[in-house]
Amino acid sequence: MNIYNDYMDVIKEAVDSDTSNYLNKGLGYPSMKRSNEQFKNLYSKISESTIAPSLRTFSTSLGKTVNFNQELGLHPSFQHLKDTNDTEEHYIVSAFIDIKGSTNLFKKFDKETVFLITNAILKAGIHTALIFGGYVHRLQGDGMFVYFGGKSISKNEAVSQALQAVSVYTYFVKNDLKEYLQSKGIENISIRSGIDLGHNNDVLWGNSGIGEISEVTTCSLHTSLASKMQSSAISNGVVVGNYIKEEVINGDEYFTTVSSRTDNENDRYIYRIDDRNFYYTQFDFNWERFLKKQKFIAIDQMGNVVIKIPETNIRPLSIASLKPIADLSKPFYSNEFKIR
Amino acid sequence: MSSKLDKDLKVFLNIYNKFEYDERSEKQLSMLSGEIDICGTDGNYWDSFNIEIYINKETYPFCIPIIIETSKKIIRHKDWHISSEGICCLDIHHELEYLCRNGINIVSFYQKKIYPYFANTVYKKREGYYANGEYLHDFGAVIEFYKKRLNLSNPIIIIELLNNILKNTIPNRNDKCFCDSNLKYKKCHLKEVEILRSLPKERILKDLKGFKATIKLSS
Repeated sequence: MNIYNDYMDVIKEAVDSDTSNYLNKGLGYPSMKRSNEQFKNLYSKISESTIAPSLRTFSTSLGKTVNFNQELGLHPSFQHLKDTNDTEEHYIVSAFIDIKGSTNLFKKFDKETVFLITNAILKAGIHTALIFGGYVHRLQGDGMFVYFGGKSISKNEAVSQALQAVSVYTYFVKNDLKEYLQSKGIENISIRSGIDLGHNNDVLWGNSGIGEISEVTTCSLHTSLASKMQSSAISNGVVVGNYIKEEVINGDEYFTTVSSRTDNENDRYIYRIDDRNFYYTQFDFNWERFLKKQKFIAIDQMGNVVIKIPETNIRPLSIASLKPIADLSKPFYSNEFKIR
Repeated sequence: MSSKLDKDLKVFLNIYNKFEYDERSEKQLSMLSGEIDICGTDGNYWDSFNIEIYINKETYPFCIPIIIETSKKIIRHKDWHISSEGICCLDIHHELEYLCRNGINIVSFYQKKIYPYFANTVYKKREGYYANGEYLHDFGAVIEFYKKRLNLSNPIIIIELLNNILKNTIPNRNDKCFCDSNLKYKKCHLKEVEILRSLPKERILKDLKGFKATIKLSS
């Protein structure tokens, strides 16, 4: 996906300037290390307050305005609850997104390279979430806890945005990132996500903690379940709760029960309260199928996903990239072709 | 629906899930309709067209799908190789009939015939000409096909060959080739003749009539 090129460039430059490159050249080659200046340059290459140009073009084409004025633990719709004893009921979509296997990076690279790589991956994730209207509530190691939805957005749209953001980011990790890291001998980098929706009467917003050691957060079974469902997901997989499925038109096309994958009925429900007859189903989300159906996605000749970004003066398209495909065709005019 | 079509459609719809299938139970042709997105080899997006792909349920895979462009983004003019109803002329009949004779696969037909046609249309919109040229209109295209694809340009030899194909009198593999090249037939025109032999009889008759007319014109 071209939209992540700038993030991939940082990762590639970090790998290219890793100490191991010099060590591998063998005896007689001067042992060199990346300079502090080089490190800082790479570190700051992707700004925190602006999206990298490659992703920004995508964001612009979607017509999305990205809100960078966000603080961790302070959702803009509920910031009035900070340092108060007030609480409020309001729906929210909770998404837990985690990169797995990044420890493997230490097998090949020095700690600075690992830092630069994991940071670029995380920034790409944060920026993706922001583009789709998400609010990053917390960072956890290589993972993110993101809320979608708020006062000015419908539940249905929030669900759609969460699924879009997770699908685009998962595609990036599963394809661009994984492919490159594999070429560098790093296996098993993957992503897993869990998403769930809590309706108004299932979510309580409030200030949790003391003074500065506090955050405005949700107390909701469905936030907890989203985290739990992440653990149910396969590598590069996404698991969602039934309330998410209910918000999606033609849901059966994209969701299958986790129990049908594991062939174990015990996995059907992520949570059950027998006394109250409450059985909550978890589903594998076919994000690839969902992604291909999105209006901002094109499917190329061989079925790969391509982001639809209109041509601009700054970003002219190269006709040379079309020629090898166009060359396969030599049209002929005939009035013999008919539909009977 | 043939099980082969059923199986191939599942694969197709899994890859290109912007398409929907309509079996059209009362009709001979079933239909795939959806959006074809044209992207370059560098992963950039160019344009999209809405299309309908009509497939003969009874004869598949031995059939030629008919493609209709419904978004009307292509000028309805023969210079754009499209009919007034939007039927797209993907290739010369001979090539399509040869494919049909051997059996098609809808996924591969989409990738190798339908997609390149639209990529080439986008190419022409930008550059003013097709990337790989285009066939002449009318019988000129057939002459060009015989010359370039079959390496046959002498109409007298072609007429004799077509008559022999109709009579099913084909040289033996080790005979001298009919084109006077002094090569054995198996090392000269065998493959090309096999293409012609795979075409429907009506096509051979039509070509024969066309080549005879060119001789009359030049004499």
